[in-house]
Amino acid sequence: MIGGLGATAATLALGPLPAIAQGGVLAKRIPSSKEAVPVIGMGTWQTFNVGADEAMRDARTHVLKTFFDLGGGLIDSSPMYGSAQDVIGYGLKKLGAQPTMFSADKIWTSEGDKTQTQFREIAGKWGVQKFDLMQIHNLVAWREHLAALREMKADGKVRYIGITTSHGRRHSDLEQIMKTEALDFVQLTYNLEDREVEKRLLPVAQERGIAVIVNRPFQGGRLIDRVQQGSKKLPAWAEEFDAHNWPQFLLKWIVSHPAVTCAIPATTQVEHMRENMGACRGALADEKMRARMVAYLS
Amino acid sequence: MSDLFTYEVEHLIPFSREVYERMFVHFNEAWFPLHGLALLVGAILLWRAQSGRQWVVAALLAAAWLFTGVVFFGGPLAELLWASPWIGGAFAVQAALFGVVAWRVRQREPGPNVHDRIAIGTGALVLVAWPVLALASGRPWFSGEMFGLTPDPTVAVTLLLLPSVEPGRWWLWPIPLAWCVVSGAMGWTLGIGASLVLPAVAVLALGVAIARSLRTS
Repeated sequence: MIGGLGATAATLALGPLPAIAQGGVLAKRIPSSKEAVPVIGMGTWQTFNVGADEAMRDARTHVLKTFFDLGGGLIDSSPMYGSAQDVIGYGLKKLGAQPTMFSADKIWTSEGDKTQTQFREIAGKWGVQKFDLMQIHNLVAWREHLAALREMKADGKVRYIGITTSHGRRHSDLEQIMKTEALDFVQLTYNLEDREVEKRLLPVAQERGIAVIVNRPFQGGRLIDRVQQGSKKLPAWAEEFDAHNWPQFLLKWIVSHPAVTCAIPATTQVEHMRENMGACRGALADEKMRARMVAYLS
Repeated sequence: MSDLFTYEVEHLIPFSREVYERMFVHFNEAWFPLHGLALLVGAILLWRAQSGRQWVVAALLAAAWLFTGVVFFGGPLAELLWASPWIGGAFAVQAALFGVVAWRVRQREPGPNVHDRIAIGTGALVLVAWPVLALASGRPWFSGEMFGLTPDPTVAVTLLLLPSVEPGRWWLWPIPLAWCVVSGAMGWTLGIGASLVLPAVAVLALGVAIARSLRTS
């Protein structure tokens, strides 16, 4: 286990593993800049796509507020997620500027010359001028978009650029891109059931100094349902790395991997957001403990 | 999007069942009381089918498909699903196809036989009972779906009438059948029990059409 350093604010990682602050927020450094981001972010797939339903938009705004109140930073969305970007924008307008926010979105169009156009559309929906991170969704037209995003990064419209995949798609293509292109971030699926990325992608990310965002940490809810409805209880030794419930157990297993920068669970419930953000506090698991966690659930 | 072929159905549905059902509630609230007119149009449609007025049937189906394609797929569902305008475009194409039939077929057809009358009767049942399916599925009562306004009952009534009213016009089938696949898969993924009713109607109608075609060939 990694000991606490006693800082009160978000604590920066000083090496491949993060330092921890009791009462503070766990954060890891982005290798390309050494800027720190909290290890738990927020995804918006399905959860924030509520259309124009004002009651549901207000409910999601409450979730967003809880996220920020508990020290959250990175929010991730995509043009593929229906009205999620509009709902984020609705929430941000109601909540006002959030100093800890780390905005992350994706370009998702097969038209390689439409990077700037889609960027403007997304920015309009969020109500922002610039993004912290802009990614290429599922490698779609990645050569053209990557070239355009590099220009936008040079112009200061985005601070970081990345590329994403999910559900284990196109890993060999992604590995080649990671090895040959300069990227700040990569986003991929990783959880206790989907561990293929451990073989190649996570080691390559470490070698190349690429930050890693983990999507589907609960396998779209199936993994959390399985452990919560299963016969095994949360082990007492989970307290050793400050996991007080199953969501925190699963999230801490992910973000304790040295290559992982942050995980982005999605939720519609304030209470679930509180549980998720609990994984942003206390200790992380070392390699031996992670192996014990795997053995316990296998 | 070529990458779409790498997704499973559940990965292509970016909303929850709750959001999907509430969308119908808001849609019905926005268009009430047009439902009465839609029911009237459906009744006229079946009455004209009964009396062999093929061009009237085609014209009314064209109107129902066009409204659904433009207003439903271009409206509330488009907010939730990026593919909705494309599906709406397909519905508009189907409306145009019915428009062609209405334009070209002006003569009165012979009245329906007993099998056709069963199909038309089933169409009447769909017209009245489909909105109630929402209740049977445990959905909010005002989330019922109405012929001429929303896709599933519009497609169901269409498929039931195609074998008798438009026999041999196989080019009218692909878009309704494609929607049955999409709607069935979407509803099944969202856990909506009644989602299999529409594919069942499609199988029934297609079976009747094929049997009829074999009999007359």
